[in-house]
Amino acid sequence: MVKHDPITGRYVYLTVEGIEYRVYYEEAGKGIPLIVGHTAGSDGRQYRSVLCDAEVTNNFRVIAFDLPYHGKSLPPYGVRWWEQEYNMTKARMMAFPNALSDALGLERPVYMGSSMGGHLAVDLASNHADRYRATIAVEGALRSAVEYVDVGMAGIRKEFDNPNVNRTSIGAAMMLNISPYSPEENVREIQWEYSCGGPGIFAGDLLYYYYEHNMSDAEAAAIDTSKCMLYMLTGEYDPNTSPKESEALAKLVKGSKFWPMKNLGHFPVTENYPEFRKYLLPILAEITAKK
Amino acid sequence: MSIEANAFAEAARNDFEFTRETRYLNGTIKVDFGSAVWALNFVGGALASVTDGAKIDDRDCKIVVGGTAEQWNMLLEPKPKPFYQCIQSAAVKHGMRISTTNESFAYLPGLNRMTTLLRQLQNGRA
Repeated sequence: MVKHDPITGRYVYLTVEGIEYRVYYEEAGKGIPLIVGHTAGSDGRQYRSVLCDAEVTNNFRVIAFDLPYHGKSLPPYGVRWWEQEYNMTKARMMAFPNALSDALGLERPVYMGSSMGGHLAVDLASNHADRYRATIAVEGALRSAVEYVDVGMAGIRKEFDNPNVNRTSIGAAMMLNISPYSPEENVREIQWEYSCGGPGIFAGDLLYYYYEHNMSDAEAAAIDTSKCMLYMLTGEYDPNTSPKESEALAKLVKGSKFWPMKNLGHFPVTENYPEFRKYLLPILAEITAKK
Repeated sequence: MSIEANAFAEAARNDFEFTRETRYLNGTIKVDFGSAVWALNFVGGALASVTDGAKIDDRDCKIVVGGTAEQWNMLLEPKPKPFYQCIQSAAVKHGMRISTTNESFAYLPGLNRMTTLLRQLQNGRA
């Protein structure tokens, strides 16, 4: 008997900042739209377990997309992208899920993202509360940990965009983010996905992750969770955005909810989905109840 | 830390991943354990010898990693506490050190594997 995952993949054309992008997305399920955003330098494959989880897809239409330059979303055709350095900005990060939502005709979807996608969940709750009924920040915070921010883009490019270093090392570097309790098969899968990234893309994404996302206390305090509920989940072993950093954000956002996740790291969705879903499913049940 | 240099050398030479991830490396990886210093000497990608590295200047090494004996013990726990999961996170969060040469980044997969082998030896699972 042939075995398939219940996932369908398609390409959609999105125009962002005047450029047309051919964007790949996968989806599964029916119900409340749930857009899921991947981490810096990776792609939507990170969400394969969510897409295959019937307890999620019974009530949610899960849509995992690859940002342009990531996964199966090629660089834009007709743009001389090889003549410019790739960098991800906050405006562009917010524009892609918004454009995807418009193109697919989604009605106030939920957005869940991890790492830079987690920071994005916070930015969307602040800037686009009318578009989303809720956002789920996985490893999100006001900003990333200062020790890493202080490295600077030059240091980041030396490690992650260096012709002396092949992209296997980007995967290897992710070990710093991963819990020792995560099954090794999953660790290797995360590293594989990172090793597949395009040249300079991970480093360019980190512009948003470390610098463009930098929310003030006042902006966080102004997030209106009655319009767009903000949930936060952060792994105990994440040095880039530790539970302490997410908790600082949670204390500022009235009505938000935050759970630290024991024995999980920066990539909880892939590191150990059976453990991650113990935190995710109650959140999704709450969103469903509010529908 | 009570690992014998010879035991590490044997484990490393017999380990597929370590030998693959150190391919083409020429030069020395200095590993400073606080109580002892090893020089892992590579020729053409092969671990030629493990010698006393105490008198080798960092500038003569391709890669340098180090920490106190206590930090290494934390790093080599079977399930280390947060941010001792690898040398890089332990450096940023707990004060261990790792050089930032091109080779340090290029051979990071090998350094991760070295940590795994040391962890196995430390915990009697080699």
